[in-house]
Amino acid sequence: MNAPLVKLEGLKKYFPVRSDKLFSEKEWIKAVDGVYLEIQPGEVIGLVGESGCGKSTLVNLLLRLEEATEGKIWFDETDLTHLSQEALRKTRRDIQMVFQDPFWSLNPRLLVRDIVGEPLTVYLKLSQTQLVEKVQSLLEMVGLPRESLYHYPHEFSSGQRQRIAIARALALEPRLVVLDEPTSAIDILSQAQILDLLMQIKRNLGLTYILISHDLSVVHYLSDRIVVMYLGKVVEEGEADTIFNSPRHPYTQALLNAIPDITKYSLDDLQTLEGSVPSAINPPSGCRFHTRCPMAMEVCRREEPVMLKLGNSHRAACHLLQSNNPKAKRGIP
Amino acid sequence: MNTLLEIKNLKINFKTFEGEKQALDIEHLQLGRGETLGLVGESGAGKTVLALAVLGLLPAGQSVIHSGEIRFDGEDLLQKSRRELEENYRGRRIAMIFQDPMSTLNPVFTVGQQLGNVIQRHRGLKGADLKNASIQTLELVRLSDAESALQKYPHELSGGQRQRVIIAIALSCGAELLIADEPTRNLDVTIQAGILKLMDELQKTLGLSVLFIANNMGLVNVICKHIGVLYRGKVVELGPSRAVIENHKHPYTEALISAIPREKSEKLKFAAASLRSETKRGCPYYARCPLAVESCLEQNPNLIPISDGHRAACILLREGGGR
Amino acid sequence: MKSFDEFLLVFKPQWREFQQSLYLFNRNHLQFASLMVVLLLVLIAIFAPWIAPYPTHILEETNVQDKLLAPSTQYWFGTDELGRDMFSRVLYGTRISLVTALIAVFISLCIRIPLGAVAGTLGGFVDEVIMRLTDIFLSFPPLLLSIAIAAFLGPSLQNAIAAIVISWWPWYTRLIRGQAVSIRERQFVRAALSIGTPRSKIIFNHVLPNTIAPVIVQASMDIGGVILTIAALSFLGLGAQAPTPEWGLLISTSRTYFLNAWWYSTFPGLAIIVTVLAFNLIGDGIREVLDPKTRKI
Repeated sequence: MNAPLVKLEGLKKYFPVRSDKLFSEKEWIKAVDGVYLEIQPGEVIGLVGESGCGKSTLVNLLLRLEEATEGKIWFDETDLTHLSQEALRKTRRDIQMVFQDPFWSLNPRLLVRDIVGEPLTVYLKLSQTQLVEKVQSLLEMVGLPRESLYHYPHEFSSGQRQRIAIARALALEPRLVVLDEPTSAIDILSQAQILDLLMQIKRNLGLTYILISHDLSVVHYLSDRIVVMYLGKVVEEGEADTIFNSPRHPYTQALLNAIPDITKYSLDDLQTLEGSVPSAINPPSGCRFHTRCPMAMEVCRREEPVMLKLGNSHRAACHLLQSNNPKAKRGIP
Repeated sequence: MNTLLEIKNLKINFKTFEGEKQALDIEHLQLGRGETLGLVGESGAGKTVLALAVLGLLPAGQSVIHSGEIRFDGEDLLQKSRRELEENYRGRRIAMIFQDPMSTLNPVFTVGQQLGNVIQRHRGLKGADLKNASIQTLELVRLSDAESALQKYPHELSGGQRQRVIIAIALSCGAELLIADEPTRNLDVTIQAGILKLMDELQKTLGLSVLFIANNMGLVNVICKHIGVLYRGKVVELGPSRAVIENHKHPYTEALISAIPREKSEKLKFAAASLRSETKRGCPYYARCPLAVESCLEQNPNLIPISDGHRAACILLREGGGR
Repeated sequence: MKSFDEFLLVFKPQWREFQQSLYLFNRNHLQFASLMVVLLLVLIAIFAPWIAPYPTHILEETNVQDKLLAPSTQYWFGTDELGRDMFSRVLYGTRISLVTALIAVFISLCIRIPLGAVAGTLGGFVDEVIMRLTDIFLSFPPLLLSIAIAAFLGPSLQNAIAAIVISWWPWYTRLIRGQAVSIRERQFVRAALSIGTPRSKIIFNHVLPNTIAPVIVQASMDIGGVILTIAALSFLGLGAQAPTPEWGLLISTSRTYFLNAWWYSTFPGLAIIVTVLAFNLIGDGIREVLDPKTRKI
């Protein structure tokens, strides 16, 4: 196996909470709580989980929009967490991001030329003609006409705006692109086009993607590997097809069974999870999912499950999978 | 079938700086009592315009209603004065829930105040009766710990809980028709499943009629018995959910369904943005249709019956569904 | 020919933008009317000495035999205590009011915008210092502060402008700072940060252009407010001095003749009302045009 492009080692991010009481102990929101992850070059990793599971924080850490509390982020064998601002500028070129809503991620007062050209003007010294030429070829790559240069973002449909955002992300020829809900604000037909475009670009440029989406069908379509997060921790990871066809963690199973799709005609086909994600300030003891898990046992309340290797690159953290574990057996009443 | 909502020949245009643009052109659409109809289409297809038209909430200066009627329980809503609509229909017999649960609730009032307000106005209850009625309504939408929820402000609730409160407010006045405009957009799938189940349950126990607006086929077919597909303000296919999804006849419906990603990297079939230049006459889907022929330009096709209740608007179809 | 194509490529979308702006502005008839009134006022301000039927009456020349005449075909707005044509004087007053208001608003914008944008974008210590400074100014009622400053500097039109600038800047510095703070949290700023755009570029390319809309709206309404304040200062004798035909000063002198010469105070008063109203209404129109959300189709 090659050296991984990205390697997260015990990554943690705690946010302090303002307490109501004057002398109470300081409390922390444990947004990301000990994540280990490796991403191979050329891979598409799908990050899945309900809102509040820490996937956005994870991405912010990777882009150094937030500072990690603990742990290391290796990007191509440099540790991003201990990089000076100056050195960071260089690696930033390699990691770019496409944001969720293209209506808000593009400055409404700038022409498309200036939006797509912004990263170029920050890093390179180009003449005006060179800049326009470069922007033009980027627009061509994402399938937008040359005339788009001198238009404002509001004149485009949401699918086209997302193309502009993709062109901007590609301007510096990055190696890793983070896609944060790239199609959640887009109609189904444009979504199909954008997904196709993303795949095509990935193949042509040899990119690595990290994809965040709450639409699991999109994740399934794009990803090679899927990582399921719950309350700041990875609960299951594996090949996309393995996760979709034989999920092992009850949370993954619940997520998958909750998706409505065109083959389901009755609500009885959908599984619901009781309650919402518990607060990350005082996460439940033991397995964090036990408060909502339909299969919770006594041991789940007490002990945190460890990651178990279930197959080639398939891992999950659940006491149920440790059936030969004597502790688990004792837990069953 | 007892018809609750019936829309006939409704033509609505929007004023823009390039002149009037067609927003809605509906030949015929009806919803029976206790029925559920899902409207699917891209943004700008006119789904929300239709909902606002039923409620009489279209922006006055910017839209023109050219013709048509919206019959609710036999009465034409377009002929009603604003006062009549406010007093007898909107929020009373017709309720609507919007897609963004955060901005629908007023952030400076508690759930109890907002819900109480509506119940008080419609049922004239006061004091302890009002509180009990509020708790009952919240229990109806399966909000856990209803009594303490009354004291909470919207920002203290999760997205799913807020949507439940909104449903409670919408239904607290005994509405007969519920219009839901993508109520689960931006909610997590697990929460979405819960809200859908709740709506289904309420629909059955209260005998509600539901007009469910969504941009995703996969979502409407789990909750609606019937599906209508809108394209540029026009119903292009209409029928029982199973028929529309499994035996779709209109090329646009086909495009919508095949655009849903399923397997890993399987080639997605999708309609290109535009195959031909736009025209003003003929079929509105002409410019994007992979099957279009010359004669598509001759007339704007009407809905052609295919099987029981299943109809599609494409001139290539013969009655019964053959091409 | 290639350069012409290039020109069309740039020009066409801009022209479309302009047409759409006009459409949005004219959608509301009141706004359209206000635009027309403001244009008329500007024309009057520019050409006042030439349109006025008695240009010599504007300042010194007196004509005592015609003093305090009621409006007639000869003197449309009547005459004052020295027999000068009120119509000519009110027309010329437009020029004084507009010019002083524009100067005052322009200077205070030059102070407010950079201060507010810097405070809002950078935050921290800089923000703290600027905001506490505004707090000090905000603890005085603005009109009272202007009066005090004008009295301290001595009565003249220039000093009145200075007084207004000094007492008004903190209000909008706060407005712009608030705007900048909200823009700082928008996704396109996060997008720019994730690229590694330097702070200075973020202020100039992202924060400033997006604060401009509310600032222009506010500025156009300010013009109304400044005209009113200058009139008030002049009325109190702290602004324009005789024989300048400033509207506030005209009303002030008319007080003596209030009972038998109604026209003397009425016409300058009407001029103030119409001007202030037009500028306030036009602010609403500009907001409509500048908000990218109204253009989403």
